[in-house]
Amino acid sequence: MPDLLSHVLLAYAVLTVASWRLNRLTDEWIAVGVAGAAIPDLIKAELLVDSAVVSRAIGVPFDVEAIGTLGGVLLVAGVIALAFGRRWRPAYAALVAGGGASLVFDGLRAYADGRASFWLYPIPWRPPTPSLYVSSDPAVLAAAALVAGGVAVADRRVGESADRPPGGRTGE
Amino acid sequence: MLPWRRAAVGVVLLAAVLGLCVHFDATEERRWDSPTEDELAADYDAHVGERALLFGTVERIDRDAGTATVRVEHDGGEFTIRLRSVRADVAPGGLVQAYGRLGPGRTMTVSETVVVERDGGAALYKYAVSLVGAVGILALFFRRWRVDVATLSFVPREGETVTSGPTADEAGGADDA
Repeated sequence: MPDLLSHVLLAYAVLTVASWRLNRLTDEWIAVGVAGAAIPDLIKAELLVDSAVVSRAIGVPFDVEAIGTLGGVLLVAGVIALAFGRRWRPAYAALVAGGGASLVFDGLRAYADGRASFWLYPIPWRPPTPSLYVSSDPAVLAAAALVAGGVAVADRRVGESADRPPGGRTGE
Repeated sequence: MLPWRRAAVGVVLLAAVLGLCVHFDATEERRWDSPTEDELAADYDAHVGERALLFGTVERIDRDAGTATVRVEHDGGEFTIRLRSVRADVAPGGLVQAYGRLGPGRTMTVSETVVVERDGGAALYKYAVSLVGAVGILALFFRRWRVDVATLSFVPREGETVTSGPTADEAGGADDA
């Protein structure tokens, strides 16, 4: 996967553009969606505790990489959405949107055999990848920053235009 | 949602996450049509002649000869394998993907290589930038939300300041506050 900062910037861009059409997608929910973009990055917990160590400790197979898949995002977003009380439904939708955006971007990274990881798991299929980048490539971050910056500028214009109700954005 | 119901749903979801991680690992060999690192570690010779995709850390590389020795991690250890026909700009400590055909004596004739990290420093870059991302998320999130101690949940900050004004009509998801 690309670095977390690229995930955050790209999710911000996608959700902000979506908010131009969806009035319900306010800045509050964009913030939640951007946090959701970090869900697949939770697999970096492996830096602290290796999956193989956990597996030996609990005596059954275990791989935290499952969290960086469609199934993982759908479930972990559910856990986090519980922290939003009665607003859990929009929270869940925003978290899944952000996490899903990260998965799609991860699905574009390079694999030597031309097929991405099992990011659609539990669907046991490796979709083809255009192999656009490798995870440690600084160009990914540069591109993500450019896109997010462009969207932020455009968003300010959209917010100022008359056809948009002023509510929800005035906290800028 | 009532507190006890919220706790119950949370426990069920966490159990499901754990189950997903177990199932994901248990079915790994079945999902991959090429041999996995664990299978090669267990019985390499059974897979000679097959195509495989390996992730390895470069130990030695000879660009002129087009060979490299990489260290491949698997559950519970690691093994080394010698790659042939490698055309990759990578230094020892770097991380590569190699796709090719497995030969006898832990060798692989590579048809495609992807350099994931050119050297050991590339990983550090990734983690440093990810840390910035994590801080950015927290800053963005807590600018819009705060923890409500009474209900133990996140509530929007919106409406707490005079400048925000009434936005329930537009805010959609926030209108059930």
